[in-house]
Amino acid sequence: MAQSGSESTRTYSRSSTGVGGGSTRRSLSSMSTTPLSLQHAINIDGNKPAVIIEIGAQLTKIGFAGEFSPRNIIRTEYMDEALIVQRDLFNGVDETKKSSLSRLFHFFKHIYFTHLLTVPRERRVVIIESLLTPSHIRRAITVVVLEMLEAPSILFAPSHLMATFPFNTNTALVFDLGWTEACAMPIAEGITMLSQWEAVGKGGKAVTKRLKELLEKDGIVEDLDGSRRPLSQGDWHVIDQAKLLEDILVRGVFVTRMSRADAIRIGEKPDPQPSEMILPMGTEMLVVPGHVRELAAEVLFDSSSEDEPGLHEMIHNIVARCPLDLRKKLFSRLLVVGGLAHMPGLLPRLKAEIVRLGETRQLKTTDSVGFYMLEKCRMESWMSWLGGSMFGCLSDTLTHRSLTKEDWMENRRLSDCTHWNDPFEKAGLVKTRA
Amino acid sequence: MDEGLVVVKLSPDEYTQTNSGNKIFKNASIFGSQNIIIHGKSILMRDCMLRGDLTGIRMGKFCFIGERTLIRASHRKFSKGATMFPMHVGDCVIVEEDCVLVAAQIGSYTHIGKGAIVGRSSIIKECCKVEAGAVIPSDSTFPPFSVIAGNPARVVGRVPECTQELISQAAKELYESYVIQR
Amino acid sequence: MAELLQLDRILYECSCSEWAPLCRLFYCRHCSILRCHSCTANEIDCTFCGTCLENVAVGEARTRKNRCVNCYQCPICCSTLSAHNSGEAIFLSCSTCKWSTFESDIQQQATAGNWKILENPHEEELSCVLDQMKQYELNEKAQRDILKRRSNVVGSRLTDRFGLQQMYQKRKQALERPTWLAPEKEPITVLDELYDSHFTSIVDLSKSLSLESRIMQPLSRGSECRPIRMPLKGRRVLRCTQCTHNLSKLEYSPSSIVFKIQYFARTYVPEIRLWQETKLAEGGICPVFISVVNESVAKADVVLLANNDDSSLECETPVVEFSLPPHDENSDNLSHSISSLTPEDDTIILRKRNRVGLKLCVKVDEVREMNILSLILKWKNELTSMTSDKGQEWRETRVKVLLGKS
Repeated sequence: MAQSGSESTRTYSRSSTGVGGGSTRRSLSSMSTTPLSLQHAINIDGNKPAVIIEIGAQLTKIGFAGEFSPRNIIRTEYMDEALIVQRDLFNGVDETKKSSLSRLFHFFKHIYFTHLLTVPRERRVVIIESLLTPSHIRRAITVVVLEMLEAPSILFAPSHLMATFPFNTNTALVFDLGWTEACAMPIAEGITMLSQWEAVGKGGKAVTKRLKELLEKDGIVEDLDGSRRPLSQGDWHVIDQAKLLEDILVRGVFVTRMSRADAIRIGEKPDPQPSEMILPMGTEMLVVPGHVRELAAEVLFDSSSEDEPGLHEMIHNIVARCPLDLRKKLFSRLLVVGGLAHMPGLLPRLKAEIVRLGETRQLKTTDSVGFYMLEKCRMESWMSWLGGSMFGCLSDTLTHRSLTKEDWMENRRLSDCTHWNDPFEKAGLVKTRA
Repeated sequence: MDEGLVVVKLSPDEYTQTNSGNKIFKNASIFGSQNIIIHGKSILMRDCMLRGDLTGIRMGKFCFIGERTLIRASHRKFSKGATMFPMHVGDCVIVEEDCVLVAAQIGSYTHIGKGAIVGRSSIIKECCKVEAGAVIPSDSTFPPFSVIAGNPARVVGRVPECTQELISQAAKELYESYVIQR
Repeated sequence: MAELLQLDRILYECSCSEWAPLCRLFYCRHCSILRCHSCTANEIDCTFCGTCLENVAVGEARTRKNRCVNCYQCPICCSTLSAHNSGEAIFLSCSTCKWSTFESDIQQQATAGNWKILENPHEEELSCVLDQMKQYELNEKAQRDILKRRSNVVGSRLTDRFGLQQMYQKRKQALERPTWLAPEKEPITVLDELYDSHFTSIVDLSKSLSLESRIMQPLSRGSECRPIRMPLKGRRVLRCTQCTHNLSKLEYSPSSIVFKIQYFARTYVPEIRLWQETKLAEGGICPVFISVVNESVAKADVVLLANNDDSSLECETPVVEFSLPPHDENSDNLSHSISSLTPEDDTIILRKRNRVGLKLCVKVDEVREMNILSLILKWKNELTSMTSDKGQEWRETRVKVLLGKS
């Protein structure tokens, strides 16, 4: 590997004098030992590839443009000099008060100097954000990146649109299942239909809350000698410190089949029962009963209240508002991204619920419900980042659409997605409310 | 606290001072003292234990070993058995109470907090700070200027750049502040 | 020894209005102001591996994705993996959590280094899509250029004397939609339902990774574990943003602690320390014992003023003036005697070499969780400026002393 590394650096210097897209093809064979993704990264007119950052509520994905996986995925927190973990980075940010931006500033510095090992001044920045981000947060990020870190330019890329790029598709219903909420937005012919979005507070946070409620009722603690006792209030301190709820969510919770869910709802206990999950908790073991594993995710499909519809209802609501000719297309091109998309059994259940609701409403459009998936690798939690990384390779687009530091210092205007002056809109990338 | 202006009095029944200026608790458990080399002006507090009988321990100047701390040289397992190799502690190393040090090397100007456990064959370079309660796994190496905390211990921060002067001064003042009464 | 080096109890105000302990501040002699990490430009000086302490050149670090080739981390607990022999082959194992490469798909191999990393199985198709996106971009650019130069289009009727026909043809070609298209990904309609065995089998914690392990290996499918290459660390060089002079630079080697350039604040600014723990009693005057130390190699004249603003405790001692001799390495370290035991006045209690002990009287109305005593520190030291005549000016900064409850 050491040999091939030096070989690739030699060929890198040769091909950097090549012109544009043509030489990429020719030099592919000579640089066969370097991974394809790195070649894209090197041949962007000699400029250094941009930094692509997606800041989520729990996890932040960081990397460089042109690479097909993020360099680092870290938690959205950092440890300050007093060794206290700082988590609420966006609490109370105000672009006019520099002191409120200090946590965000330190987080970005942590990203650059601990993980990326690069100086902010050298590379353009692309921030993948949800279109529902409040504008004071966008402006705060702009102040931190352009003024305090002195990066050359910044570009805010909408996460739902970015998620479609790896699939080379123009039309999809992108469904982002994150920590705070589930947000879905249709994209048709490359245009994000901004007026058709829908979000419901059913994400990782809601599932964890339901998991906690179920455990409080039915959790069991097993001692080293095998004796069991019910989970008590005093145990929660250990559970919170060791982040066991997150562990159970990632490793044990699954989305059950629709037939089983229906049976459980009417009080039956369908056979076979899921196995329990045992994990270490301090000096004892925490036993998560099988039905807790099965029921925790049911909160996602609860359609009990009007303003908190289940995920399948949300999708139907969105499609119902779209033009007639798009409806069948959107149902057949669902794209589920986000951390929660990794849960086993989620996609088949979502399909079954959508089809059933379609039959109830006598729709013909739900006949073929399909999902976009990259089957060989589970990339859902960073699909938007991946799209952003591919987008960040287009150096000309980046030059044309980014907000430069000079422009910001002069005008202090950050165009919104619905702003008339927005370059996104000019290129037909975003459709405003009619 | 400003150690330069504080004087702690040690009773001559309990502590003794050697020719090279080391102030040692008389009943400190020191085994194999022929293998232990302390360069001078160090303080070994009450109930600390130095196991020089297993292999050599070498300490620098102005070290401070807190109460009930255990210092033992480490070993490394090979296919044909295990070998012990000597431990090197640098100058101006401040070790607080109740620590267990089984490291291969502790660099100079390091501050080790209360109750820390430094695993076998680990190497801690100069100017580091080990937080109280840290448990350093065996065979780990830490670069200079790291703050090491947690269980298993990881690098969580950086010490200030002027740590060398800061700790060297603190170690010297600490040494001066402990006075054995006549 | 209650708390050694309580560094964060005394905060100094930096020129950018951030508060930091003196040990974390720097002093720019050219601009004669204090600087902290937030108002200096940070640059990466050298990249090195934290475990093998080997210097890696910046270009090489970039190709290797900022990872060391020799050192590996355990995917479960992040500790360093150590190599062991088993017969002819070599395997890696973790001494903390007892994971070894026998539990991953590559059990052992002939060489100690070069353990295979996880690869992205979709790289080829993503590359094709990316190439297509670039073609679209060129197309878009050509269309934008045409709009700019519309007034200059001459048309195809001219002869090719000036080579215009060729240019026209070339431009027309660039505007055509690229014919080669990467295949559009088909959505998957047939999905396997959740099998019973998925949830009735025992949850094997070694097969299903925790979130920490998953985020360390983005390309794993939740159960794959390979030894992870150790991430490299970067060493920083600090530079004053105003005069672009370096404030702190270490020597080349990663394991060195010797500074090529060092402008630490404590060598130019008198350091205030807490002498004894203060006991604050409500309603009344409490003494606060602090000491001031001069670490520089030149004499320092110091004036301490009380700064009674709203949130701080009221200091009854308005002003203290004194001068401190320079810090002398060679002075008798073993001298136990304190030069002046009799207090000079009520405020200056004692002197010892380059430090002075002070007693400030503070009026306490109510005892809060964190009580702050604000002071203004003025000092004069010939080293505070590069030019010797400017060094005789007084410098000033604010200081906050954080006193606990009792």
